[in-house]
Amino acid sequence: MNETRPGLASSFDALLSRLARDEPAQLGYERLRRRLTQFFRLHLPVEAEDLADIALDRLARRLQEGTEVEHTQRYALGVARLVLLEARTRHAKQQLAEQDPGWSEVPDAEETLGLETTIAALGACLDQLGTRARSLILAYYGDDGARRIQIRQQLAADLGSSLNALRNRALRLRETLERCVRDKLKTVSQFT
Amino acid sequence: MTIPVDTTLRRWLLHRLPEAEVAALETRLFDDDATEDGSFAASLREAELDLIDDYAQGRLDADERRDVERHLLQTGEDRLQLTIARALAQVRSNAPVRERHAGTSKHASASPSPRRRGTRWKYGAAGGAMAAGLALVVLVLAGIQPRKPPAPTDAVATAPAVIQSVALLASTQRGAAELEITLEHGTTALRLQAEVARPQTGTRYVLRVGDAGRTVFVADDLSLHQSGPYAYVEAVIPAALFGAGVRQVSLQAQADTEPGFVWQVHTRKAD
Repeated sequence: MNETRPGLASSFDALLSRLARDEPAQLGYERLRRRLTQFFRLHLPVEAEDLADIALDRLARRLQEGTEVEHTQRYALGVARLVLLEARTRHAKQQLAEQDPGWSEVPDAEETLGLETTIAALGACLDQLGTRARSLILAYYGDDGARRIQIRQQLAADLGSSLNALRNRALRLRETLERCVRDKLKTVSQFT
Repeated sequence: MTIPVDTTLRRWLLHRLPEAEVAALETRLFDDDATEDGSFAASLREAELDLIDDYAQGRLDADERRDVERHLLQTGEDRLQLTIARALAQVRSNAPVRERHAGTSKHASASPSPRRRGTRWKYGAAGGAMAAGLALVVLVLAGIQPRKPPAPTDAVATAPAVIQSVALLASTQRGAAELEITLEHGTTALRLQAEVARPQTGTRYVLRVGDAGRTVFVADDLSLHQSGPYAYVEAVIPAALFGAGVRQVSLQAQADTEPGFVWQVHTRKAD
């Protein structure tokens, strides 16, 4: 039986303690969880969040048990691959083949609430972001192909920002916007 | 370390890369240096959003569309994100040009928010106010207050949305079928239900409304509905856009270049 590390009340503490070596623990945890979710979305999108939690839990328990981990993120990837293998085996046993599921018959938000409602909610949320953020979102996520790259590079130059920093800012704004629209649509659906 | 080019990330997301390359990219995803603020992970996320935006705006070919549906649009959350992407494209197309292409540089003209009329439709100024009224009604019912409510009449602002259904049957189609409809008093929108004579599972359809050769409304990416023996697609169009007079309603499969069915719809308002 492996001895747990003294002073670590839970496996979660062990994980945070380990992550705190490189950066603020909470930030490191969020970053790692996001990468795990991205990894699982590429394989089993429907279960991505749950599988990410499973992988994190296993990683945390290994750390609490005293397993020597040289590179936390790489180790997490190894755990994730095992979790993925188990999930796929489980699916195969349950005869949930990874065929093209197409569109499910469950009505999606657009069919249920209408694009018009979403546009209205989006308009209100864009207003809440403010003029500058609104302009950035509309300019950043507009065009396609080569023009898209040019516009983003130009935006970065105009702002005196690196492309990476601008990308992160645009992603945060988009997440904020989507969260706002989701919240508004939830409110609407309560009345329909 | 350089970020893989956008095309590589797209191919990864569409599951078109060889396994060895996938394994290397996955390792890279977890090696992403924290001091770079997760550049690689952020690039991957951006590539995914760009694909969804391209899908929403009909920029992908059939194979790409299929792969996006298969790998990126499987959950309800994913499809809600797609709806938001479509809404964003619509709002962007209605925004002033300078706002569409402006950054947030202090050198750019500080464009105020475009006048808030709720939802503006690019298909006609008349439809804009009516659609805004419809959107406002929904928001008022939900208790959500837009910051600058549009200026429809009081009657429109408080009246419930009234949607009139119009059935377009394939059996009446004789090259260009004709039918007459009467817009009832208070109708704010028409729900066009167009029968698909030879439905094919997985096919998406486009419904267009034309006025003397000019397209006034398009609804694309429509899925099939089933009601007994009838397969149909449906779209809601503001009544003000449809208007009174003669309209051509055409239906075609998304991949086709020519309409499959055309109806001539004579519309008049109730006395």
